[in-house]
Amino acid sequence: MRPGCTALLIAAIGCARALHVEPPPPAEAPDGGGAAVSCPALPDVVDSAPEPQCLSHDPDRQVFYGDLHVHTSFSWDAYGWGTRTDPDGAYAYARGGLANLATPAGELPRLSRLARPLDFAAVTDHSEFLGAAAHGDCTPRLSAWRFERAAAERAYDRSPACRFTSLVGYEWTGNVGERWWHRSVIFGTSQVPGLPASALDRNTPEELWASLEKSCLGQRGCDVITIPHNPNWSGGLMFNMRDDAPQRAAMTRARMEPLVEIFQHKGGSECARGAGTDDPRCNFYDRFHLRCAEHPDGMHCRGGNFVRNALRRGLQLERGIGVNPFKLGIIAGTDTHNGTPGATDEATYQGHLGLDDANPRRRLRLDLGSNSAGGLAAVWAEENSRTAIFAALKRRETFGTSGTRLRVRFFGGWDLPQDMCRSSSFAHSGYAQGVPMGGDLAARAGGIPGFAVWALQDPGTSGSPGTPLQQIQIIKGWVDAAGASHERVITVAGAEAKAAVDPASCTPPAEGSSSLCAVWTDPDFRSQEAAFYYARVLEEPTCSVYQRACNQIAADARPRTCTDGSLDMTVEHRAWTSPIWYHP
Amino acid sequence: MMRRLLREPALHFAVAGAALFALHALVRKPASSRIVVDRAVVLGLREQHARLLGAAPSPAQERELVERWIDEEVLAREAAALGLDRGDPIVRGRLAQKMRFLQADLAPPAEPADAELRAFLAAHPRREPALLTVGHVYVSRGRDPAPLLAALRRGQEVRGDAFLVGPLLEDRTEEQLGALFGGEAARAIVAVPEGTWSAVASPYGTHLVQVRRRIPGHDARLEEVREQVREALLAARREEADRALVQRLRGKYRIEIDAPAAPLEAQR
Repeated sequence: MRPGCTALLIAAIGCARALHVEPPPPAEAPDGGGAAVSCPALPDVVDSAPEPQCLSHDPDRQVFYGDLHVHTSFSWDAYGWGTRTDPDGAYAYARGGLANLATPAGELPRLSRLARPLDFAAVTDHSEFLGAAAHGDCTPRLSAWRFERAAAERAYDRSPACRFTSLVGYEWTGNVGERWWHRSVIFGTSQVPGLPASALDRNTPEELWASLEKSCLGQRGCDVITIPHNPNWSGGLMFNMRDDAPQRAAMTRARMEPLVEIFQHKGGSECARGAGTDDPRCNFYDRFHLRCAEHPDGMHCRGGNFVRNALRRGLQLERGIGVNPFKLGIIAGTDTHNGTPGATDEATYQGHLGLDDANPRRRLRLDLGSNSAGGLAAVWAEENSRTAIFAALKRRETFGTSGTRLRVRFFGGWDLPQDMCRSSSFAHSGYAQGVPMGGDLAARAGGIPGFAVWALQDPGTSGSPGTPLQQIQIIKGWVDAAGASHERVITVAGAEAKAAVDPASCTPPAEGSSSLCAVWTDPDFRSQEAAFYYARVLEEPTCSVYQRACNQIAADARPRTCTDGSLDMTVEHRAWTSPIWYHP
Repeated sequence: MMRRLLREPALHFAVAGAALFALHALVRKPASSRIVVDRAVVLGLREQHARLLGAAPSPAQERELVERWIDEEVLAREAAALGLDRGDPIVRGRLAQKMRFLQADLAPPAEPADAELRAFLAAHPRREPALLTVGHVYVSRGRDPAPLLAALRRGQEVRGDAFLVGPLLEDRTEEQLGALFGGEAARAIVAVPEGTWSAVASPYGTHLVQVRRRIPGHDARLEEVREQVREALLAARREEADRALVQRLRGKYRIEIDAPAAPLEAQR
């Protein structure tokens, strides 16, 4: 090493070495003491570049698919599982590049590439990696965070073709023992705080939000949201608020968290049978194989773990404190720890946990943290720019899918035309005479709300056709005059599945519809009762990710889980839209 | 792995300790049983707090930060003394990464001039895709599209069936058309001659399409991609500096490889 470099190295570790006691006087300036600070002053990533002028701009909005939950080698656990794809590599993968996955010793190299690139992505490495070094040991923490921001800048397509949007982000990994209340922190700007908040310093969501209010929302040109993810693993903590919670706490939460991740590779979080519902379509890729009717007090059966329960609880809380803290739009994500955003195709799935689930046998373990390929976040936005995508996330004009690229539009209104499904201006009418998914319907005297929903199947790729649609359901939740919460699931288009799954070939079904549409008016609407409505679009059933893993192993060598009924061997892939809320 | 990691914050401290241990070793200072909170530590804590929260800590917060720093320091030193850092691939990888970061911070690459950006772009051209503007009439399955196509070719207005994708698609790439209609349909649309109405099949039915404008693909001009080129060039320079650092440091070691037979060979 050069002498000059060595001198600087010693200077740099001055902040980690202890010499003598003499605490300095309290700092006068908020920036913490100027020249005396021993950490090297690093230039910030400057937000100077203008937003792109996108050629493809549609006022009636287009759909974009992305992944807002992505770990790379900058996450401690991913690194430990052998992942070496860094944030640059993950963005390159999202844009259609090749990724090298961690490979067990002696096996052939594992490569992966998306058949269809994503439109947007955020790398969300654990901030605890970036923030865990000893206090004062500043260099790697700042460097890693700066690298994350620069990688996002490198990936962002600012040309007029607007092919790809990156969002700067990180994961805040707070927990109380085995109960997780993790959040993805997603910035809508390239101006972001100098450091990410770490759960080692701030282990409650309230502390995280307080940190973000000061370091981002209180600064010029910085905007941020936090997205709770896999609430199914939160032991009831994720959506937990008392009847007498202060209004301010509910408002903070509503402002910071417009969205929830309803599905990812650690399973679905929509709802569980026995936990407030008997909907047969709950327990989707159920990580814990829940039997909540038999174990209603189980940690994983609590209402605070599930999105639908939270939506219902939010309406009840709003009656008492005047604010709905759980007004949640819906997305899904992968939570890949391989640096492979959007790798949700089950036919080519290679795992999400590096070496830990690197072959089919490992993916069939019941105790594996992961149990599926995860999902995608979809937004309806005018164009593929950071500004437009982030605005769509904030107004909840989003839906989550279990990995498929089916498309769904959903509008609610008092005067929606009954013939919308026969019109080529479905979306235009929807915006003109109603509100899209994520929106609010204000009361109208004598009115009865109508809902229009149109879904198209995933068109697939030439090598891998999409699966036809089975039915569209609308899920309504409401609070009655006595404050009791109710729900109802209504099929508004299509019918129960017709296709039979061939477990040996797993060929996609020929039955089903490529397109389903309905205009539905709520026959049980009562104008005094607050309600939400969201759509769930179901595909015809196909082989599950487990069946596909079993098929990759010789019949006589398959693990017991291939045959003992503990894992679901078929799956109905789906999309969940953000709700539309009605307020009396 | 994640669960274990979260349950054992000691691991975090071990890594921090290993870092301290290694840095101490570098400057050949023996570990001491004295823990001293000096000016630099406190200023560092203040700065971290300010970076995170946008304001300096209150005296009470600062006392708490210092107490926590001492706790970590104790645990880190004990962990290092027990050798918890050795043989741990995470610690090893982390230390290697810190050396790389340190180099990147101490010798940041120079801000590239315009001429350098141009040269870099010329050496690593970026392709801007062709953009198509397409007129679109949807015909559902079960309806014969031929009369509609013939009418369109005669220049008549026709009424197609309702569909979620509208009658005009402006400035779309092949990839974006593929997201709407599937990859095969997109390939077919790109291939139809400009101006002529043509029929293309998709999973949804038949799409009568007319390519009205085609902006050809071209190599990007610097003005279109300046930020990405700048970031890519800086990244390339950092990588080069990183390789040089490793090469230089390798010179300090005599490297012997005593490997068993290559694993893939042995399996054959």
